Amino acid sequence: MSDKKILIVDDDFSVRETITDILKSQGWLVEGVPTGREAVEKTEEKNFDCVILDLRLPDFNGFEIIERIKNKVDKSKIVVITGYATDRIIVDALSKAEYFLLLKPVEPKQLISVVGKILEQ
Amino acid sequence: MKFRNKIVIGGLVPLFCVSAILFFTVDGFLRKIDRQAEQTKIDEIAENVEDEVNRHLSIVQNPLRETFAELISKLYSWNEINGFFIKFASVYPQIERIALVRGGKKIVEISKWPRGVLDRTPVNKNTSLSNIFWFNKKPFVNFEIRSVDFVVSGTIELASLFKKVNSFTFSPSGKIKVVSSKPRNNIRGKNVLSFPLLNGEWSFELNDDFSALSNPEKRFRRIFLGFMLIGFLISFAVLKVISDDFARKLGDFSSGPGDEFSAVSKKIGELEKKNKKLRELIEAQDSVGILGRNVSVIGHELRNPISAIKNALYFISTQISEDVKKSDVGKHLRIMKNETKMISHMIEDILTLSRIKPPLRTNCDINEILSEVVSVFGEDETLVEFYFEKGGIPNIKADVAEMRQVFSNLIKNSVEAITPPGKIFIRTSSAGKGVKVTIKDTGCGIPKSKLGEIFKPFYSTKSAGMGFGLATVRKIVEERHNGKISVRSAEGQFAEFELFFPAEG
Repeated sequence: MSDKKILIVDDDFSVRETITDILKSQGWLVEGVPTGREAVEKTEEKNFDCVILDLRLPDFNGFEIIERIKNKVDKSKIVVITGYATDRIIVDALSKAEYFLLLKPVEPKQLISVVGKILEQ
Repeated sequence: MKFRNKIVIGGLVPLFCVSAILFFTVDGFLRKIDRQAEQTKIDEIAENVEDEVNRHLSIVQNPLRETFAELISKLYSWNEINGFFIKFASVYPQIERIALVRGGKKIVEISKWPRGVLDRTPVNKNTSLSNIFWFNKKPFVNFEIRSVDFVVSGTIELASLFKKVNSFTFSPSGKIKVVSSKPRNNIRGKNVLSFPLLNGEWSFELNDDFSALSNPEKRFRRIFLGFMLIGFLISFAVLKVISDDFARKLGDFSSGPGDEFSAVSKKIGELEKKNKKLRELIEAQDSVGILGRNVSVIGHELRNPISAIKNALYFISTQISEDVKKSDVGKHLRIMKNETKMISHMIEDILTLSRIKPPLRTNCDINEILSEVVSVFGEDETLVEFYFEKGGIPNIKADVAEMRQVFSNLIKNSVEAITPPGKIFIRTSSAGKGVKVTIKDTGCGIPKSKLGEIFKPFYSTKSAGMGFGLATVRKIVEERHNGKISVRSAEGQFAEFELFFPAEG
């Protein structure tokens, strides 16, 4: 199998679980955390090849997380998932086209394809 | 004052003025004609009077005076003289007394009065002229005709001269005022004519008054007033109708104190205040987004569970065998997938329609977005063929999620309109300063009568769904992106939607 490691950060259990299983079924290693703080901790512990990040987290917003982990995880490896596409500030910042942006509800196939692209880099 | 009363007064006042002008002009004209007629009449009367006076006193004036004297000088016998006098007296009935004196002796005298009466009547020097005297309230004048050997003297009565006269007045200056027989009313004008009589010692003053209105003038006044009254009544009725109509149209504003317009402007003031308050309320809501936020929050919250269900369904479908997929279990999985899709669409539509915040514009490649949407649909709808003609188009400034929603909704409608097999043609092209997108399906089309209705919320031909799809599309395209959407269709054959997005959004 592959040794690619993916981190999924989302405070919703069901979303996290289902995405984890979907990505695992592609043969990738997946870990999931519910908060931003734990996400930062995890990236300090291990190297991840891809991080899937919900913008709306209980402690930090996704943008801040990106800034915090930028030393450990390059922006091009980040997939931002959000239902709040209308949040102007966030999407403006993201439109600098450094991250991948997917809107909730996410098409599983689309997610797989994007993650695949990132892992190939 | 109430405006409707002003209408009535404003209509009647000019009418009144015009009537007054008309009246006085015509009346003045008639009066002038009247006066002229009067003048003519007076002139006639004066002439008549002069003639009469002359006739009356012809005996004492030449040529009759001389003729008379000559005739008498030829009479000698008493019988002759008597007969002559009697005849003469009957021809001139105004002669009251006539006497002949010869050689100092009265030869003959004929008198209507008892003998010597008229001779002896005193003459009031203060009030009468030299030879007019009054006796029994009647005027008389004495006369004398002298000849070489005789004197004829007599008395002429004057009352019969003035058949038309009501009264005499003597004036100290020696004039007799003759007042006409016309009734004494409102003495206005005086037409004075004096003419000499008997060597300038007498004169008559003809005093006529123009007090009474002539008949034509009276008639004119009556008729004019009659018409004026009718005119006023009609005008009043008409103006009242207009004013009542005016009051009725203003409705509530016309009652109450004060002028109607002040009521109207007061109401406008109130409405403006209310409007301002409402506007403030909406803005307050907008900035806080009370209403919008409630719906918005719910909508966003729902995305997570839907996401989870979707993911779970996908995962399950990757874990089951083809046999299971074809069985009833697979059928139920597909049902769950479709229903979840429907929920997702409904939420997106509700969120769009309730959206208060402006769209989030980023650089969008329409071709890319369309490709994604088409691929999502394409996998599921195997019985529909998709033809996508990608034109060379610029990026446009648009909200990615909303663009996706637009195309999703349209393609979803197309798919649902098709009874398989069918085709959906999608084409993008550059048009002016923007992008044109056409989506055409070979589905059941839209009846002509409904073409105007389809973009309204709650319009749906499906038993399920709320009918927000096209309303959402229009809102996004036209309101939120300054674009245009139009539709062409032939029932039973095709439906084609054409969208235009300006590049600058």
